[in-house]
Amino acid sequence: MTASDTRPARRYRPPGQLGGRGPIGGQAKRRLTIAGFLLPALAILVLFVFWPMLSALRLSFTDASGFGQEEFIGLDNYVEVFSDPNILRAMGNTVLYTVMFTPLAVILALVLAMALNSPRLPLRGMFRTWLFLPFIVSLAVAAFAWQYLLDPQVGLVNYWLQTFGIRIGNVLQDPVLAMPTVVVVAVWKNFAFYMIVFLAGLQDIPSSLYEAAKMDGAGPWSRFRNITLPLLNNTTGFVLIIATIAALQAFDQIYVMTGGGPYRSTQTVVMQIYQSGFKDLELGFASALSYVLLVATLILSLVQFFFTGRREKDTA
Amino acid sequence: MSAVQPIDLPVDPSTKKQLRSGERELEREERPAKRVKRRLTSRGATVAALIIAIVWTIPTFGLFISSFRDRNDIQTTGWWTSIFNPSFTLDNYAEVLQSGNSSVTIASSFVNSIAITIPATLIPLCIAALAAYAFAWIDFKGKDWLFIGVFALQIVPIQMALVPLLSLFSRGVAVGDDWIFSGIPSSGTFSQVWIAHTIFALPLAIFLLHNFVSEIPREVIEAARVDGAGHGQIFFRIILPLTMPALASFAIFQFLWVWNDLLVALIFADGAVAPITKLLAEITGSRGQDWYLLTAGAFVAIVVPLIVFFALQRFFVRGLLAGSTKG
Repeated sequence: MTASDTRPARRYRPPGQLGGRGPIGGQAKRRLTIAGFLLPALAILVLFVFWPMLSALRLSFTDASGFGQEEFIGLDNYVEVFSDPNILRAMGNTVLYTVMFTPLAVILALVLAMALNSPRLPLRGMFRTWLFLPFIVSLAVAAFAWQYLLDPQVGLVNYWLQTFGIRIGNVLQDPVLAMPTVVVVAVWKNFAFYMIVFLAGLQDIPSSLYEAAKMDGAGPWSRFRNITLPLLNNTTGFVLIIATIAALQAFDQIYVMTGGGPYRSTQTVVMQIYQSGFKDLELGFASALSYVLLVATLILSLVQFFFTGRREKDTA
Repeated sequence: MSAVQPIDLPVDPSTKKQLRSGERELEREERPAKRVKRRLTSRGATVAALIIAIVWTIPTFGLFISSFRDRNDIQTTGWWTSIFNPSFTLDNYAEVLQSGNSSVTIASSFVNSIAITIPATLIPLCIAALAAYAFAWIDFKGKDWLFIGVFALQIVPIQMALVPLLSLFSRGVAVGDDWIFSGIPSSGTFSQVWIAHTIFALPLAIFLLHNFVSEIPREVIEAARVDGAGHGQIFFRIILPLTMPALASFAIFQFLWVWNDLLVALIFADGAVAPITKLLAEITGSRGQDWYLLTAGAFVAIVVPLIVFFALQRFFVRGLLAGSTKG
């Protein structure tokens, strides 16, 4: 028996149409009905999403600044995005953040989901709720809680480290340590969401597979490698996508804890969009940077979409 | 739930006997001996889980303890010292509700948060439910393309739509000399924040609710149509009651999302309409050492999500899972 035989069918299937002519008569009335259901959503999306995005695309080729006339400047904004050392630094920081956040959060989520899925652990429901609590707290508040924890005078972390004779001062003002710190805050808050998703995936794996593998003499690592991982493929792919996209959009805790500093060491792309678009009012430039972020997100989604799609075929 | 069905294999009698005795053996083991063994083996895992859970709670727990401590104590000693030597007060809460910036206090920003969050949850929910029904059960030309279009909007990062949205709000939209949309004043109104949260929620909400609505058995809806029900009646009498769990879970998720949001609030909720997250972030930035105010303020901000979560936990987890397993 291969693993794929037992994969629960959960591909989305469209329900298809209702057959025959219903009692709803008349082309005009039909159109009115459809409009009644769809128009609110479509009108809002067109007016407040499509239109602004199109106008942002236009803005990104101008030097719009919120005041006075805007002039068409071609690709200058995009050239600046890829040549300004501060912007390149922000992109590098975003990549660094993502490279730290995604593996840390996803691995932690998987390990704890497997622990919570084990029948040997008592009070599983309580632990699940307990670990989940940070997720419902605002990231801005979480950032503050951590700032308090890390405070050099009254923070618990420094107190502990001092008893071991280590002095690290204010990590948020340290150009090397500030970035890992804001990553830790995001992992602390968000990993539980991924954990719940993994838990759902784990619960769909039939326990008979593990029992059969055990009888065949497979050890814990082999069971994990040959049963858990392949059957969690879809879930892992999904978690990786949402974790990576979430990492690309890092903002709240950075805004509260470091404001992008020290020395731009935590300045991410979204921090930069906020700075350029809403503080410096360089609307054209901020629009160009926004489009770069959109394209990056799009590419990542597609890559991971095809990657998980291919892996799925391999195991099938 | 196991997808594997037990199959009756042809087995010769002696093997059957062996199997049965094996089963009995397992059963016997399962009872007292196994239970003791299980308790022993679980101890390590339990301790590890407990330690992680405690570590995970420390940041918020420290905040919670501190919010009841005297302001001078907070500035000079760590919160853990007060566990052995407790002296607690509610002064911080009394003071924080009155404090704030020049245009709004924490107390009124708390009210603002409610005034932002409830409409920003209900508006997208209603609109998305209507659209989800149309996409699932009404046939019309170009439906698939339209649905893919809405689906694709999910990957647009909120952060990139902010700049154009702000300029739309301030300038409006005109075709020739006719104003389609004349813009919304930036201060003193919640409508900008409501619209922003609505559009960011809509694509995901339509997608999730569509998945749920389309799983309603076709027979149910066909029966209603045979009885002469129109789409409106089907929607209100059948779809809405049947999708209540999905609606509830999405509502909770959106409620928490909006309540906890900082970025949209920073940009669209100016001055007197600022929600509590924005005000707290502002105080943290400008008066970072006013721990006594911030610890209490943080807990004022956490209270509502905590209540919502514990009251509706069942729906909440289900909603999260609906989003993940269908994706």
